[in-house]
Amino acid sequence: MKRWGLPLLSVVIFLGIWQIVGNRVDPILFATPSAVVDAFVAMIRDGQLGPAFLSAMGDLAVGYGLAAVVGIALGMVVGRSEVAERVLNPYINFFQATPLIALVPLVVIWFGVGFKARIFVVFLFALWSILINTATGVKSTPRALIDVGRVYKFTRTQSIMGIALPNAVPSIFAGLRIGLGKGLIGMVIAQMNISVTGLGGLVIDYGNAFKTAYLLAAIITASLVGVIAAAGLEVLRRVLFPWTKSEGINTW
Amino acid sequence: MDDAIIDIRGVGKHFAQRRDSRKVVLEDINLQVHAGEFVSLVGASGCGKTTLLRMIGGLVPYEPGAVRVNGELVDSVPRRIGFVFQDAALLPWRTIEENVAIGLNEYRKSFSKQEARDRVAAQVELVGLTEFASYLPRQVSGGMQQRAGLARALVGEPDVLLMDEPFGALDAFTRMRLQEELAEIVRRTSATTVFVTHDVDEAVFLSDRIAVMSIGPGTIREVVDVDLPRPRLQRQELLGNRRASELRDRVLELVIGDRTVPPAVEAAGVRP
Repeated sequence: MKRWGLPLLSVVIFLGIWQIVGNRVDPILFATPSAVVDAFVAMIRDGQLGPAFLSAMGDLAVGYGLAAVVGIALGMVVGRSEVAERVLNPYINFFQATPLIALVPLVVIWFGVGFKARIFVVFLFALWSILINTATGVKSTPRALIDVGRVYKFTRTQSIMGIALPNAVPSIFAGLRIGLGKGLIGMVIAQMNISVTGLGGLVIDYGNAFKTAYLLAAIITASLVGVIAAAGLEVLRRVLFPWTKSEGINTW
Repeated sequence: MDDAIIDIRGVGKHFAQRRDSRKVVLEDINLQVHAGEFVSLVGASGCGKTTLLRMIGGLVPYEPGAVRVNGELVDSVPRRIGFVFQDAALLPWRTIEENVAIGLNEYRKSFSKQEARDRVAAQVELVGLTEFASYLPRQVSGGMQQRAGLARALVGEPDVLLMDEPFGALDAFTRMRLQEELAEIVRRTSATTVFVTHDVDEAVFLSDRIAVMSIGPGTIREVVDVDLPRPRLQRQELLGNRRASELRDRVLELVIGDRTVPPAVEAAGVRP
C-alpha cells in the first residue's frame, strides 16, 4: 500500500492535470488522456494495434535474441582471450562510438527494406552492451575462485562453465537489460524508417496525419513492448539464476 | 629429514621492479613438515606467509629453491591437497552441499555418484551444516561459510591441508568455536597441515610447531616447538597454563621484536 500508494497518486494527479490542460488547448498539440484511451480502443477495434504490437514484439524478439546469443558468445571469447580482445577491440570501440542510426541506410542497401533489415538493426543496436558486459563479467572472476578451480583440479571446460560463466551472469544480465533498451530503440527506428510497419509505422503515419491521440496511443504501446520484454527478462533471471540479485539498473 | 611430507629448501621469491633492482619477498626459506604435523606460519603482515603457503599449494611460482610435497617437486598444484581460503571462497551459485562436493572433483572418476553423495553428506554433517546443506552461501553466516570451506578441503581426505588465515574474518566467539572444531577434526584426520595466521593464541592452541617469519626480506626467523600435551580440545584449557603463556610470549616477542628492536641494541647484544 505504502509502496504503491504514492506513485499511483502521482500518476492520477498528473493525468488529471493533463486532462484539464488538454481540454483547453488545440487537440493537435496536446491530446487529452481520455482521447488517447478512445484512440487506443478504436485502434484495437479496427484491428490495427494488435498486429502492430505483434510485429514490434516479433522484430524485437528475433533481433534481440540473436544479439543475446552472439553477444554472450563473443563476450566470453573476448573476456577469456587477450588476443581476441586486442583483435576485436577496434571494432567494438567503433560501433560503441558510432551513432548506429547513421548505419540504417547501409543496412537497407545490404538487406533491403523487409524483415531481415529490421532484425539486423535491432541486432546491431542491442549487441554491443551485451558483448561488453559479458566480457567484463568473465574478466572479473575473483582471484580466489580461480584458485578454487586450480586447487580442486577443474578441467578447462569446468572452469569456464563452472566458474567464469556463472560468475559473469549478473554482469551479463546487466548487459542484457541495457541491450534490451537499445534494441527497443533499434526496433522502433527500423519500423519507422525502413519498412514503415508495425508500431513504428503507426507512429510515422499518425504523426504525419497530425492525429495526436492515435500517435500517443501507438507510443504508449511501444513502451508497453519494452515493459513486457524487461519483465520477461527479469522473470528469466529469477527462474534460471535464483542466486543472483536484481542489480536495480535503470536502462531507459 | 627424509620423511618430510612438505619439504622446502632454499626457497625464495622476488619481483622485478626496475631495470636493475628487484624486490625480494622471500629469501632462503627452509622448512620440513612431517606426516600428520600441524605447523603454523606466523608473522607481521607483509612477511610473505601467505605467499609461502601459496607456493606449497602450487599457486605461486618460486625461484630459486625447491618445494616438494609427498616427494614430488611442486611446479603446479600438487595432488591430494585441500586448501582453505581467507574468505571461504565458496561459489555463490552453488549450494553448501554442492560447494563441499567440489572437494571431490579431483577423484570424481574413482567414486560412484552415490558414494560421492554419501561422503559429502558425512562431511557436511561433521562440520554441523546438515540443516543448511541446500542453502546458498549468502544465506548462511560467515562462520558457516568457512565451515563449508573447511568441509570442501577435507572431503577428499587430502594428504596435505593448507589454510590461509581461515578464521581471520570472523568475530572472536565464532573464531574460538571454529578453532576448537578444527582441533577436533585435525585430531581425527591424518592430514599434514600448514596454517597461516596472525593470531598467536590460535597458533599456540592448534600447532605442533610455529614458524615465526620476519619481514624484509621475508624469512623464517625461528621455529618454536609447542610442547603442550595433546589432545587440546578447548581454548580455555590453555587459560592460565604457564607453558602456554611462555610459548605465546616467546612467539610474540619474535614477531614484535622483529619490528621494534633497534639495530644498535641488537648489535650491542643487549637483547631484551
